[in-house]
Amino acid sequence: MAAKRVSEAATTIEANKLRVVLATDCGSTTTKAVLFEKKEDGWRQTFRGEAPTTVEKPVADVTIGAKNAFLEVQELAGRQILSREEEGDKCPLLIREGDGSGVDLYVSTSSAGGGLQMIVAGVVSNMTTASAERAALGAGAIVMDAVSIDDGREQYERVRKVRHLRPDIVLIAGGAEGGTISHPLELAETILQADPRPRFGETLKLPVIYAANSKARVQAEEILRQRFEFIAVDNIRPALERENLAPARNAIHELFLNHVMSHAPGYRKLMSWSPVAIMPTPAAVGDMVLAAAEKWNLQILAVDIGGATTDVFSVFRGGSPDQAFVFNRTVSANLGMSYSVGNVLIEAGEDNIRRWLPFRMHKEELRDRLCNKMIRPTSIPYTIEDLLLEQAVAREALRLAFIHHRRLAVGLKGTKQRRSIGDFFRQSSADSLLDMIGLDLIIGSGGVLSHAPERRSGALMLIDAYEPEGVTRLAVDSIFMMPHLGVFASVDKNAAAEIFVRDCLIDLGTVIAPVVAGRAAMETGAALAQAVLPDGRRLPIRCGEIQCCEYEAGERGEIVVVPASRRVDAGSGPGKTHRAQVYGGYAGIVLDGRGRPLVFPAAEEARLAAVQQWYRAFGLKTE
Amino acid sequence: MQQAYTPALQVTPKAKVSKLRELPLAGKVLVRPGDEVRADDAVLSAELPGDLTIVRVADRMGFEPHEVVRGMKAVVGQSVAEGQLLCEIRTFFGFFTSQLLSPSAGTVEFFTSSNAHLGIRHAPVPLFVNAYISGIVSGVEEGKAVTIETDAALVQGIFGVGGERQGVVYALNIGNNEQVTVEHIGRIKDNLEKRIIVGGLSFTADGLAAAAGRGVSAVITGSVDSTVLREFTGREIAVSVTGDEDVPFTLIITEGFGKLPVSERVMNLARHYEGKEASVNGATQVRAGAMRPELIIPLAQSSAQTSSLSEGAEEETRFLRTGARVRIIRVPYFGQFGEITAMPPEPQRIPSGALVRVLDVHLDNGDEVVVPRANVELV
Repeated sequence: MAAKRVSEAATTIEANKLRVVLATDCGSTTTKAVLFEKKEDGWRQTFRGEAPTTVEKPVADVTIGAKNAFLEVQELAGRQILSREEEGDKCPLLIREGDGSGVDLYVSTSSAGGGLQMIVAGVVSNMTTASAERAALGAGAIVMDAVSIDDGREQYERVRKVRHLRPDIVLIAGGAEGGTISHPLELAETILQADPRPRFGETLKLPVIYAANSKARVQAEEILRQRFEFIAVDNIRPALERENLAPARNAIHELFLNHVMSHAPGYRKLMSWSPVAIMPTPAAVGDMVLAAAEKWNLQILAVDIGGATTDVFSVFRGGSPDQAFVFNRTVSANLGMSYSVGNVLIEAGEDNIRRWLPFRMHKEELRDRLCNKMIRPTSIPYTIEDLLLEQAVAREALRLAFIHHRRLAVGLKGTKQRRSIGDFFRQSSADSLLDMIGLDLIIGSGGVLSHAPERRSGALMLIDAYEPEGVTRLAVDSIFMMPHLGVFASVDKNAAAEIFVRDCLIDLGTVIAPVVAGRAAMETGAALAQAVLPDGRRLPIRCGEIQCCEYEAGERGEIVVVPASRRVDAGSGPGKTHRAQVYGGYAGIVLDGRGRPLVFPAAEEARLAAVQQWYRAFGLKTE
Repeated sequence: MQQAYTPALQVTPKAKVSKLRELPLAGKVLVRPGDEVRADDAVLSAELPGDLTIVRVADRMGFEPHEVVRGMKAVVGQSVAEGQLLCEIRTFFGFFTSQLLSPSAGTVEFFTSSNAHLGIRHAPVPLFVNAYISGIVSGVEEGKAVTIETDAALVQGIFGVGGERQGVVYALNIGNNEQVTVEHIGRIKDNLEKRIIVGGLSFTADGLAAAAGRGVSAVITGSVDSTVLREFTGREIAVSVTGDEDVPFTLIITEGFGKLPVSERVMNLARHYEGKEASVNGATQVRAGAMRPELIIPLAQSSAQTSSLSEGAEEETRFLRTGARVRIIRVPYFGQFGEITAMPPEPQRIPSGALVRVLDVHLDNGDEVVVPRANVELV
């Protein structure tokens, strides 16, 4: 009898019986497969393989790339996981046997084919449209356009923009229950006028999720049903002070699986290989970040910087320590290190990229090099100079994506939440939520951070881009496995958390960055604070300087930071002594006295000298 | 993975080129399998839905929505002419009459009673899709698509702007290392209208403007300065998805940004096929290697038998092997050509500090260099 395949296993998963789990993330360029195994000492990530993603012609079948990645894992692990017989569309993975072959479960995430792409519409930009945007982003989508009645565009401009987009789903919000009827109908009319075509399937009707005022639902359906697949869910903002994202998010997820994915090349087959629903990559990463924050009671900022997009995730308490965590995710669709590097160049400008370089580079040279990276995205830096140029771009991509995140990240969570009218009017001041001095941990992920030749350079990139304040721990995703862990967590939360701590997070160290209240600058070299390290060493943190103190990964202790003046805040308030836990890592304990926001010397020679000092402090080469 | 797939841009005198021509929505196929078509022949047609005019009836007439509902004369599904009565309301015991006439002709698609908005869909707009390349119709998908096949000389560029165009191949009489300026274009006495001009290291901004002035269909050259490209397209290229720029001609570069000479293989092809009709498309989508710009020069059908062999050979060269010719695509050897002399299996430390799999390459200038496998393209 032929060996049993994974897809033929019982559909109910008994998490406590799992021993070997294979997970893939089908990215836009690469399909990454990782093997999770339960060893004597617990769950570990053991092997990793990758292969080009195959959603494009001539192959146009995502399972081919997945099989190639399985094969690499099989070769590296020396474990037979693939059946030797090809049987049509059947899952090629074998069920685990006593001889050590096979796996217990296969799970996957996907952002191939550009991920889930949506248009959202609402009545007021910072009310219902913002709610719709949060529902879409929380479900792992890229928002291609956000239409609002008050977005300042003429109707023809909205129609022209939307007409040329190829979304997977449209989400309409607007009108509290008992509120406006005409505006949601106007939005339905706008969508009908623009008549955007779906991305996949010429004969497919584009799904429109209606999550607006229920009183206008029947009429909106009359307007849209002829040309669109109309799906009505509960109002996303039933009252001004109340947001209800879950029904819309669930509908998005359902459509993503049964509509979008099943029309993407090969996905129907891939879905049949796993009893667990395929998750959008960003949704899986988001779940992992939120789970980590809740488990360790930490405020976390995480980033995944890819070739095309940069996703930012934050988990902050809504203003005070006793408040519940608020999760936010944004995706900056055109900020990335290869396909989108040209857009980083445009948005940041040549000067903002050049300022991070510890050497001179002519503008034209910089532009041509980055454009060449854009058209040959898989090439890698060969020289130090080229590497530092890419890392300079990364700082700007991270910085810009964070600005985007701060704008959108507001104090609402993806489930029912009540807010007062007063809160609503404060909603535009989103910065108050991202309290940088209260931030506990920054996690970096994505090739430029995870695969930096020197781990310490990852720490410097994160500090430069995010400018953390007070005491903040820094880590990177070792080999980019957060998506895999996110989807595995939907089956076994504890196992995923165990692997996350043991094999995923690489500690880079802890940065101590006192901030000076008020606008008056302090003199370069002046002491901002004194740091008493866990080993008792007393070191000054000097204005304008940065230094690294060795503190090995795995070490943990208390640091005491004593501000030198009442204007200096190290984390407990201006002038107050601050005590905090610090964690060791590749960069150790980083004492950053460069100030916030980071200011570069105006003169080129002085800028070069300053940036070179920063690199030297981290023991990084500059030529 | 025993072999690594490596991107390779094709420059070949003979290949079987097949182009799928698709409609954006269901329509009609105008050709049959086996038909011979020219590049500008229409092969597919469809009717695009006309624009939708939304008439805010209540607002326009100055009444409340519930008041206009009973006066509506047009109903959903009805065809209306421009100026036809849509709504009529009599007030003040019938002494006064308010009328609203249709602002455009079309079909009433919806009427919403709560806000009294009426949608009029205009007549469909005909859409035709041409063959793009001259060849034989090899496949038909009823109502959706056709495939055109031809044996052709093919040049794939690395990047382009501007969409599909047809023209006649014209090889510039200029050194591969020379930048093409307005003076060079000015010295050409031949007619350049509808020509696909090939050659040079790159074009200056005024060189491109001069080419536009002479009515060329396309320019194929080695490289372009990013600032010159910005001037040519009138905007920055943010992501590498192009093809719909509003430019006077299609521009294709074969090597990259900066100053890199067009390869001798491209020039040999252009010289050989000078005067032949060809098709070009600057559309580039770097993501997942989906689409590169191209020059397709259809050949006489008699060469069909040998072409499939050449296609097979192309596929074979997509894998790196000792002896293969490569182009280096990253500094410090960017743009140089050479031959792979060794493929060490173990990863090696490169100057950036990264540990990667590498190749030993004997460059055409005689130098022996080590480069990451990711930094070469097969030629």
